[in-house]
Amino acid sequence: MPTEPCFALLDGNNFYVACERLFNPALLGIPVVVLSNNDGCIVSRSAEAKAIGVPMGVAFHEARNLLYRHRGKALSSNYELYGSLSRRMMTLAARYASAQEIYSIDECFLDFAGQTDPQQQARQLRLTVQRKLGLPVCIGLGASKTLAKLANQVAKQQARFGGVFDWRMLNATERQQLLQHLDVGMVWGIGYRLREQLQGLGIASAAQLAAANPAWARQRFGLAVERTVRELQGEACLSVADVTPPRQQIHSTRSFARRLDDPAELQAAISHHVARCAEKLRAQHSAARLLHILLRTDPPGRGGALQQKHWASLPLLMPTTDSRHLTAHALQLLQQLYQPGVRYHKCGVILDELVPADASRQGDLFLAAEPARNQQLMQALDGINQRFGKDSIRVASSLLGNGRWHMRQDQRSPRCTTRWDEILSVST
Amino acid sequence: MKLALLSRPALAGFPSPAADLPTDELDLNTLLCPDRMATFFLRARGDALMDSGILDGDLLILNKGLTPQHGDLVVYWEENGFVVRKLSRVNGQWWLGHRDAQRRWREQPPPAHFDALLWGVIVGVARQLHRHTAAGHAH
Repeated sequence: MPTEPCFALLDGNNFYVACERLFNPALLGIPVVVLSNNDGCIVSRSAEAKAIGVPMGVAFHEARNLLYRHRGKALSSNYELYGSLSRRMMTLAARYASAQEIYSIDECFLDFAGQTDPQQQARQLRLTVQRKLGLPVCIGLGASKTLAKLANQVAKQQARFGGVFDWRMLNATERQQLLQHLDVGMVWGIGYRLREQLQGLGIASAAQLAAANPAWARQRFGLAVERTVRELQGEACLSVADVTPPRQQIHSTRSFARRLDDPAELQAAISHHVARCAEKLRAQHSAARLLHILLRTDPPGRGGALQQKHWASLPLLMPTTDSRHLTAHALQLLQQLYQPGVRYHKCGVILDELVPADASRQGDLFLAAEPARNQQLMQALDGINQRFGKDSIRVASSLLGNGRWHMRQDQRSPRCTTRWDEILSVST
Repeated sequence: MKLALLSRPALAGFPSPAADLPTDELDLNTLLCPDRMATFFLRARGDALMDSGILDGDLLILNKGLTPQHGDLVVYWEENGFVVRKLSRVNGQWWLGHRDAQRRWREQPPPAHFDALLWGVIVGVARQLHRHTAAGHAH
């Protein structure tokens, strides 16, 4: 007998705020927000912050007064901590399912097909994460990934379900009622543009999309929307992708703490981004054949200069994994783009056209292959940085300037699960 | 009939008598924190639990998932910091004990909403006696 498909979507509630509260219970019960890099925008809010009307995604200065009036707290993001707790949460979740797809830092799909009691299993998992990690999660269950995602939203919004909601337990009338009250933009895969187009055709609710003819949806919008319609109707079109394919591009980009025109600062920033990209490149055993850098000013309307070109690329004749070569090339590209007197607000590095690293050893007929000792040197570099902390050894150009490009992180909590010198104290 | 399969290539000469024995070296993690996902490390401050084996500066190994029992060292949140106390149960009443500033053993009942403030149970203590055991001095 073929088993009925059953998918679970596990999602951490206000994940970043929950991570902060775990190690600082003084943050419980008050409005708390976490800010993006450079303390710019609000990226996570506690329920209390939502309740007083702090919007998601806005620049912090727009919400500062409101938050402080309610004795709220704003924190810098501590991605190292969130990443560490995310890995633990994902490890626990994987034990409950035959397959897992990590969808984002706080979300994963789980394959629950063949479980005798998926609901019981989901409750058990939720309790385990709560007990062992102290993080609240909600779990949605459904016959397709799209329905599991919807079920998760119901679990989050309606506390009476105790954090687990099973779409499969609803009868046809109940499903219809829920779908009718759901904006079509809340459906997984329906973004802003699609939502507008669908609304133009009179499809405003999830119920209306679920009632659409899949063939029509395909003709009108393509395969992805047809799949969404089928999935809303309870047909599983997508499976839990167990393995994430190696990334085809690796980026590291970031806005500066303030506008910069000093070339030394820009060189330091670019060198830093190369180091981050190259680490990721070597971790997935790839080599890059194409290097891009980007360097941006504010748009002219917002006080910036008119920029001819904010992008420069260099094909690498020999695919490389070597931080030193990549840095040297990236700094050349920077020189091409840089215009004296212009104030820049963002830069970044992208490694493209990735190939398996061992292929890079074969080399070009006319060029010397990347020597094995360079790869050994990079291995040693990564090994040392893993053991003694990021940037223990780095390319010296990342130290140029006065470090003014760095992230502003005025209110970052200790990285107490990844750094020995930042673990919490407890008094006896 | 059962035949044993040898994965090791047959070598001429004398086989190592240790070849079929477990190859994993002892690892303190498997002993002190087998439940890795629920394990957190904390630094002890103060000597008020010296009798229970905790000295100032000790590294405490905490398991967040355990249900505390009589006799456990527990960590909970108090006002604005984490504290560790010895939990005991006498005639159905729970107590939290430690030595006070005068070095007298004091016990007090748990504060209101203790369940929500409780953070975990200490399952081990690690103490470095020589600088060379510190991280980064492995050779």
